[in-house]
Amino acid sequence: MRSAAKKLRQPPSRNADARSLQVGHARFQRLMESNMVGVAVVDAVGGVSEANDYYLNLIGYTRAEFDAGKVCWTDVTPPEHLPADEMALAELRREGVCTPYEKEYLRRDGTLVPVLIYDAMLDGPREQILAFVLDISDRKRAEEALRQSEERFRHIFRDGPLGMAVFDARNRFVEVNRAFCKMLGMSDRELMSRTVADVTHPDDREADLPFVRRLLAGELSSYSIEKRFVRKDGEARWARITTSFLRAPASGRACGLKMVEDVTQRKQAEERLRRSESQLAEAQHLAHMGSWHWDLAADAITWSDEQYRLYGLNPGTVSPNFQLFLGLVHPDDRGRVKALIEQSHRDGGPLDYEFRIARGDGQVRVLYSRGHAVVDAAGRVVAMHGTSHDITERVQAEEAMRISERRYRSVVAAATDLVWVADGQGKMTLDVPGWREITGQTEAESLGWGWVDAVHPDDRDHLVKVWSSSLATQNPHEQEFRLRARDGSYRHVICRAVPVFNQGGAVIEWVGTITDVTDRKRAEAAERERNDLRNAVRALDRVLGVVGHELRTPLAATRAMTELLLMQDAAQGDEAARLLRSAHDEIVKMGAMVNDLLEVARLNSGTAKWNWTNVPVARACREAIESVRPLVDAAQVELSVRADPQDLCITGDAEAVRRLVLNLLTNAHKNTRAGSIRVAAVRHRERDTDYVRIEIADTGNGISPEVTAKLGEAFVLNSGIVGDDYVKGSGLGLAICRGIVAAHGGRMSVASAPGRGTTVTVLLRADLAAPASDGREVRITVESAGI
Amino acid sequence: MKSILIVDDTRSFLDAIALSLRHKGFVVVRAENGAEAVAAADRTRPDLVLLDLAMPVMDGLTCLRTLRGRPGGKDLPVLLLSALTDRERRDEAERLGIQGVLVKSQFSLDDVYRNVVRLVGLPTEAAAAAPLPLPAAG
Repeated sequence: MRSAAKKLRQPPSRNADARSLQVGHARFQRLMESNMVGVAVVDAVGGVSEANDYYLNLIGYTRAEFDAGKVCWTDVTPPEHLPADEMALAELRREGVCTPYEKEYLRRDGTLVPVLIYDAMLDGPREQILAFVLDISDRKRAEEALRQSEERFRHIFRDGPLGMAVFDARNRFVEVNRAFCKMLGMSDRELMSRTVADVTHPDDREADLPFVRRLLAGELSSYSIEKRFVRKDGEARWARITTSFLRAPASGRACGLKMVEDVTQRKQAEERLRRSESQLAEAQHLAHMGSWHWDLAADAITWSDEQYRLYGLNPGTVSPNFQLFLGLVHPDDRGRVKALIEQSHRDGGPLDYEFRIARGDGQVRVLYSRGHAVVDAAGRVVAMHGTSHDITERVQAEEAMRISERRYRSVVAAATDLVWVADGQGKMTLDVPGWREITGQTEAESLGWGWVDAVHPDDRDHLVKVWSSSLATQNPHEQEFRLRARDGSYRHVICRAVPVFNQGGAVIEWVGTITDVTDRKRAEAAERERNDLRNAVRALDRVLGVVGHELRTPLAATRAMTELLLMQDAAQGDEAARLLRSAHDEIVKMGAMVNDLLEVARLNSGTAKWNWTNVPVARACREAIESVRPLVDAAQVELSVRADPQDLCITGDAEAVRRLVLNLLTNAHKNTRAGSIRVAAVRHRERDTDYVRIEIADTGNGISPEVTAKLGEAFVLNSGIVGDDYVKGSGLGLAICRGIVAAHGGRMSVASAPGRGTTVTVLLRADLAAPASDGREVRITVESAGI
Repeated sequence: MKSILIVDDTRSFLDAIALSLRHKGFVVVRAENGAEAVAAADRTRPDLVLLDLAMPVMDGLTCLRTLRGRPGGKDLPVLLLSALTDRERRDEAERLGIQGVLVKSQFSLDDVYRNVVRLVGLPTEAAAAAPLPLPAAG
């Protein structure tokens, strides 16, 4: 432009100049007419010699007013712009052109229009200036808007409540506002030396990465996330941070802007809400309690998760409404439930009902529901809400309890036993009609401890003792006692008592039964008598069988031998004599046996006659030894008697004592083919009582434990025991011994082991004034064979 | 010659029965309990056994059961001579197979002889003519 202006001022050559001038003029004219820019030829003092329409329009004048010479550019220039014009004029005069500058024109209508002026000095005799004027109103408006915008941003940045920070490509803070500083508890200076990462919670430092990548890829212009920042004092706060990238106008480098909103309180509130909801859900779950809300206008029901579960549904799997709800209700309860809810709709009254539901899994559960209506300003019910509780187990338990109670009542009513209840201290607390019926006591008489009066006086102490002990130990007890009936007779009863504990393990009461066993006892006694009789008959059979056998055997031998003797040709001389001897021996044996039988019978019946005198024990033993000596092979078996002291005496029946020792010696002899049989008699004192102890010890075969267990039972040993277990002897000998020992107030024991011999020990009272007649039976006790 | 095994633990009875049967011409073998009887039967193969029941060492029923289990023992005639008369033992003996029962003290020597002849026939003349050996001294 400057060079073009210079050209304008150069004088053209003649011919070429003329043509060139023509061309230049034509171009100028087209420029003027194009009206793309205001063009005017002016002088230094305001005169305007030429102007195009753009120029005239710009300053608000018509062509006619221009032609009439009414346009003067100084007139349309506000005084404050005149110095600029002066400066431009000076430059024009100096340089021929001036630097474009801005000024304003005051239009005819009084408005100001901003313009950009470019002037060039025209060559010629007069000072003429070619002025190009451009309307820059649009640009100015834009600049103003930008300025205002910047001003607003500045204001927001500086004073706004939102924390803001500008950071560079290395994440360093470049500019931060007050709010941001306040949030972080740091001065802007402190922040300037830090990066974004420095103030971000370690766990959240990676949170931006995916967004940053998308931002850089141009997919996003900004993004918002919530993350924690860490204040200078170490406290972590939640913030919602919006980040956008921009290029710094000056440097062209990328930078970022973060807008930060502290949402800690909201977060905490949300967490509290979440926790509270979770606790509520948990509580509902634990309590099998759900909650529901029913918006009537929309017929939309909202259920808590647990409410779904109560219906056997997974939370959120259906969108409940009234029909769906009714469909879940057990068909038998549906009508009632519908009527109840409709009633509540009408009158706004509370809901409180139990109903069954038939769940999809086939289970029938019982729910208890409470609810109330929500009414609007006009009093119309618009919604209902409430809670539901699964009470199936409780209902079942109650039913079980009712059944149990009924069963108990039935049992009590049906039982022949009396059922009683006492408190924890043992006092009767419940009237028992059956007790009154039996004893004739009144209710008042029987309660507390009054019932004891109806117990047989002999049984009272023991009963009270056992009962008190049971109360102390809390153990059940059972005891038998006699109860006075109203007619004065006594009934035998068995009383059983068991404690009832509370959950804490304390006895809250006692329950028990009283069973009348009088008839049973009578029947048992009768049965015992029958058994005794049966046993006696059996024993008699056994005795008869054995006696038969024991007598038949020698009888058969005697008969055979005598018949043989009668056959004169069969037995002669020595043979006949021998037969006669044998027959005689058998007859003697039979006689002894009959004597033994009679002896046992006398001892058993208590009709034995005793000759009670002073008995020298040593002599009785010696006489017994001498009686048995002929039977013993003196070469094989040694017989001995020892008495200490020699004059050892007792009061008793001398013949009986001799018989006792003889019987025992006879048994010893039967078991001893070789060795020794010794009799020893010594004094013995036991429990302030004087005895004589007589021991008969042999070194024979010994007796098997099976046999010793049966010793002294008449006829038991060989009553059917034959073969290997056959034991010779009737058992009468020891039976007689038992009777003798009983009369002498003593006892017997045996110690024996097969192959090692047998020792029988007899104790006889030393100073019994008369035969013992207490009917006491002497058992032969078996001792371990310590011989 | 017919051989008879007599089993009884009462020696005087055993002597009398043995003596009378020998006198009639039978060969007589004696045993004082079941165990001896089984051994004697194995040894002498008797034509008949006269058996007591109540005996030591081995009783009559056990002896009978043992004899029945021996070769040829199944058909050996056995006559019980016993003082025991209880049903139980009698039934058990009959189940094992016996040819008769004589209750002790209820029969004569003649009864014994007739039952023996019934079961084994008469002794041979030769036997009858044979000299009567003396029983062992008792």
